[in-house]
Amino acid sequence: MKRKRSPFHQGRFAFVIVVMIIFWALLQVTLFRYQVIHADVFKTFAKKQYNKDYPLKAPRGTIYDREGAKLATNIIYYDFAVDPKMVENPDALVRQLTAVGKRPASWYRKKLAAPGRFVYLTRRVPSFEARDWLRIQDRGFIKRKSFGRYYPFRSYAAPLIGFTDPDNKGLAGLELQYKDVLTGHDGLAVLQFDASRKRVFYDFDRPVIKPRPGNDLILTIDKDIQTVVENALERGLQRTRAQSAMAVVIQPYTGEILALANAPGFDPNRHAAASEAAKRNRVVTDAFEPGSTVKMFTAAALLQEGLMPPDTIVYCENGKYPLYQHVIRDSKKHGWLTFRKVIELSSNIGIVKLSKDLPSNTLFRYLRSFGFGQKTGAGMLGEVPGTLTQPSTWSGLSKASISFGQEMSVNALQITNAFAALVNGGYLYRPFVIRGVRDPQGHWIEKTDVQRIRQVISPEVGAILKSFMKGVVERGTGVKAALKDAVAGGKTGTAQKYDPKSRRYMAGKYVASFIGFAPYDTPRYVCGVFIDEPRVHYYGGDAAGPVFAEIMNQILHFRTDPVTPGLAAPVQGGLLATRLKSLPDMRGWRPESALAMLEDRDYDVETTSDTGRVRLVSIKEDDAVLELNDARPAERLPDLRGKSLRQALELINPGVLEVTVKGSGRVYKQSLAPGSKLTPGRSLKLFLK
Amino acid sequence: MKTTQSVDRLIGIITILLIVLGPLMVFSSSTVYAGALKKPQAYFFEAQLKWDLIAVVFLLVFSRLPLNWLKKQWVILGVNGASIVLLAGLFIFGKTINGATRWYHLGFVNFQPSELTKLALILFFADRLTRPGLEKGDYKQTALPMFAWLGLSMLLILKQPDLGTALVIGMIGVAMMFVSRLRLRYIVLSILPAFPLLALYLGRGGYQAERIKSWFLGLHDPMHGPDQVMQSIVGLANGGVTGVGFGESRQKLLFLPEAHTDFIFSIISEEFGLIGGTLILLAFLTLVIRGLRVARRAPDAFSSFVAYGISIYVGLYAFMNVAVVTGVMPTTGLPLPFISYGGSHLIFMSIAMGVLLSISRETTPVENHASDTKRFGKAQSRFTQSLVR
Repeated sequence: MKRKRSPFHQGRFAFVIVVMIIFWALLQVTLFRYQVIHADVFKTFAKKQYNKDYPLKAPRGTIYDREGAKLATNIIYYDFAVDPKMVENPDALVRQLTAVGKRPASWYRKKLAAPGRFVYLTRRVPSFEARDWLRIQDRGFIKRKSFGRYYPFRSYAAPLIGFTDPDNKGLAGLELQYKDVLTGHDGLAVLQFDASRKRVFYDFDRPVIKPRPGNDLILTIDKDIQTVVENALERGLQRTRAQSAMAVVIQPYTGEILALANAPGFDPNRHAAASEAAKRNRVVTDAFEPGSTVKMFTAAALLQEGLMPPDTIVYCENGKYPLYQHVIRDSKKHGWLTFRKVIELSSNIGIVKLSKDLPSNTLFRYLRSFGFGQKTGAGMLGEVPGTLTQPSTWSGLSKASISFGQEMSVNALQITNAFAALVNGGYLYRPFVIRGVRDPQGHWIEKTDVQRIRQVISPEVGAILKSFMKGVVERGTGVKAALKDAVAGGKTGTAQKYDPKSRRYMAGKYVASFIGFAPYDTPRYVCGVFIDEPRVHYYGGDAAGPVFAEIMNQILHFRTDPVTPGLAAPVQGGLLATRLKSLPDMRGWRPESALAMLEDRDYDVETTSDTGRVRLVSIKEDDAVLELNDARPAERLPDLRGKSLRQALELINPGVLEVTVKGSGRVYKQSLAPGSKLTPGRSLKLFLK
Repeated sequence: MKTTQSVDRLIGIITILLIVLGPLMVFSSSTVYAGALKKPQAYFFEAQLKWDLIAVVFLLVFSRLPLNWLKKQWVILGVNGASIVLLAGLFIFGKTINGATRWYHLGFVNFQPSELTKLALILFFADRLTRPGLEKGDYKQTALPMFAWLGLSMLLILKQPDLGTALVIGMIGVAMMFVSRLRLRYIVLSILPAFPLLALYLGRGGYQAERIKSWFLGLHDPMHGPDQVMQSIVGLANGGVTGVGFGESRQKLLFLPEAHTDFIFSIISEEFGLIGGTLILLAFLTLVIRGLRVARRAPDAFSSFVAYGISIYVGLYAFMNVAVVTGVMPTTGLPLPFISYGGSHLIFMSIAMGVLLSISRETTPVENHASDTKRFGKAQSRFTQSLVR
């Protein structure tokens, strides 16, 4: 069969085929490049454009006072700014701004003419003050919302509580110290978008992680007492024209700090404007020479050691008493005085002469026992221990100086707390300001225990010292501290300020103090007032005494229930903590045993069901709730290997198995295999290594 | 003479499969877009399904038409006349979309006459290239009428403006002349002046020039290229080797513009991965190779050139579309044959494939002509001919 000639030029035809194949191959290679080799680059980009992460801000924990008043909380803040290029009607906007804001029209006009696309007009306006701002209408007016910390009581207890930065990170005070407790865990929502950013899709593979709010901090501070103290201190500061002042109120039977104030204070809502000195919690961070208030501790040592009865008389040398090339002076000339009078009139010469037979070591031991020269353990940031040197380094004059409060330094909390030991029957407690930590649902996570550190003096000696201090207020240096409706006691202190640089006492610069207690029989409060460099009155009794009286006169009326001394008394929180602490872990117990245990401790017990074993014990005030496990606990033996004995035993139902233990350390072998059925009476042997 | 009575089954099956795949991919890639236009989700799917049915009818009808019918001068002239008139008529009656006047609005549908032009030119060239004296005739008799007709068509299309289509028909025309025994000299001399003209056209600026500049940037790093191409490549990368699965494309969430039309290959590659994309490319490559085989075995020279022209037409369209989607070529606005949303290209592509199938019914094996292979080397010739024998 004859074949016809092809119409195509064979070579060119082949060329076309090759070109088409090359074209195809090029595309194939390109696909491979983008889909395999370089895929990751584009995938990363793709994820970014599809998903947007929305962090769900976890609110920071609240700081409450002992009664549940919010001392630090979270509110919505607004920042207001302007985009000058977007402003539609500058004149109208300026008019609206001047009507709402504090600044003149010219200032706003300047802002509207500023370069850039984002010019702040005002920042951090709390939501309750922002209502008028929010009404402003203009396309160029920018409203930005954020959560932030708010301190409703402003300067009250501000140095104690501290403050946060705009990102809600703790910067100072408890906000810094308890940042881990207060900070919540932010959640995350991943939303998917289309290109128009309008349609939102929920990604089932990445569910929303809910934010977990921070835990709440409950303080021992009583906001009512704090208010009284802050106000009294502020007035005292003005009256004495002093540089600064501090005050502490302590519950003498527990060590709870009920108020802690520094003046001048600062507003933590606008902390940036405040000076560093004002932000310091000077009550614990600043050490100073206490002066005559220390005479009480010298007296305590003398009485407790039985060296001087309270009615010993001593000649006070008419105000001048040379000792080791120095002259010890009294502010007034005194002749013969009894021990009691020495305290009431605060005679330096008297106390020095009385303590002649008191060995240096003994005085040192007593002062140490009262907590001087050591941190109080209150656990506040920046606390200083004060100074109390070893007796071996003391000069001949040292004992005399220390006996009336020189050559040593203390912080305000320390000495106020030591005073509590004088009036509560002789016990030194660890002062504390954190009552506990609660989770966002209100369950206690942590409670601070009242901690009695040691007994320093006997109750009898304490009674004598209290009577001394009553005398101080009734007829001694502290008459201005006398109360209207109650009997108080206390001791004045007027310490010349010591300049560590020139190693001299500074003329005319004093720390005036008064530390006292009331009511007399069973003191509910111990209050220390310290005034730094008063210019009008510099004696402790004159400068600090009236502040003490003003505080006590008010706060003594806050509570009418009788004060009972000792552990059984005043404050529930701490006591409850001890009671709670002494309870064993009752999970897994038979309900009868748990019931007996709880009733033994005076709890009103409630149970959720009547069969099973204890799963959870929750305790609130005097009520305990026993939650029982209806389903019988683990019917099968868990894998105990690698667990400590304690952990292992927790996992085993003690009523079912007879457990014998061999060795110590961690379980490395168990006689019944994990998963074996637990029938009553079986025995399990655990081998530990 | 006739050795087969049946159509080339491979071509038929692949064509049908591609036509069926079309509405499915249009559905997957257009639901979100339809939603954004406040239309029912299946709006584009349903429209494309109707076109699909019509396309299959055309495919079947044309695959059964006798070949002699196409060869008739009045058919060739009629189709070409209609093509030019319709192209010219666009300037008066055309509908302008996105600044380009490429369509007639026929009430229920937009008709793009340049689709007809492609077929018309294939017929015209096939007729001209099979006239006696092609090898030895002078320029005026042989090359000039073809270049004149091609040039006029291209000019009218360029005016729309539609650079992509103009270039494609130019390439089809040149490819047809190239494989004939027309003197290479004539072809080269005729094309040369086109390059400065093209440079001038692009030099005027405008969006075409911008496109090419941006394409060049994207060739180096797609992230800096045109946004559409960048999004298209992101889609490819998302698909990886195996793809994210049918309907799972994320790029169709309006990230990739024209996801259901010109850039549908990106969605296919995203949903079915490198494997899916490769299968599509191989399908088109097979169509080209088998089409060229049909061309070589066609019963007469005219049918050979028609079959050849159609094969190049389908192949160029498919490959250039993928080249645009992968950023290899600047954006041209060519749909992916059979699959992209749209009626005009689907109908004319089906007609073309129908004609190709109809030619494949009457194929006969052919012999090699050793004389032609001198210039390109025997090995290459042998390889390519083994492909299309």
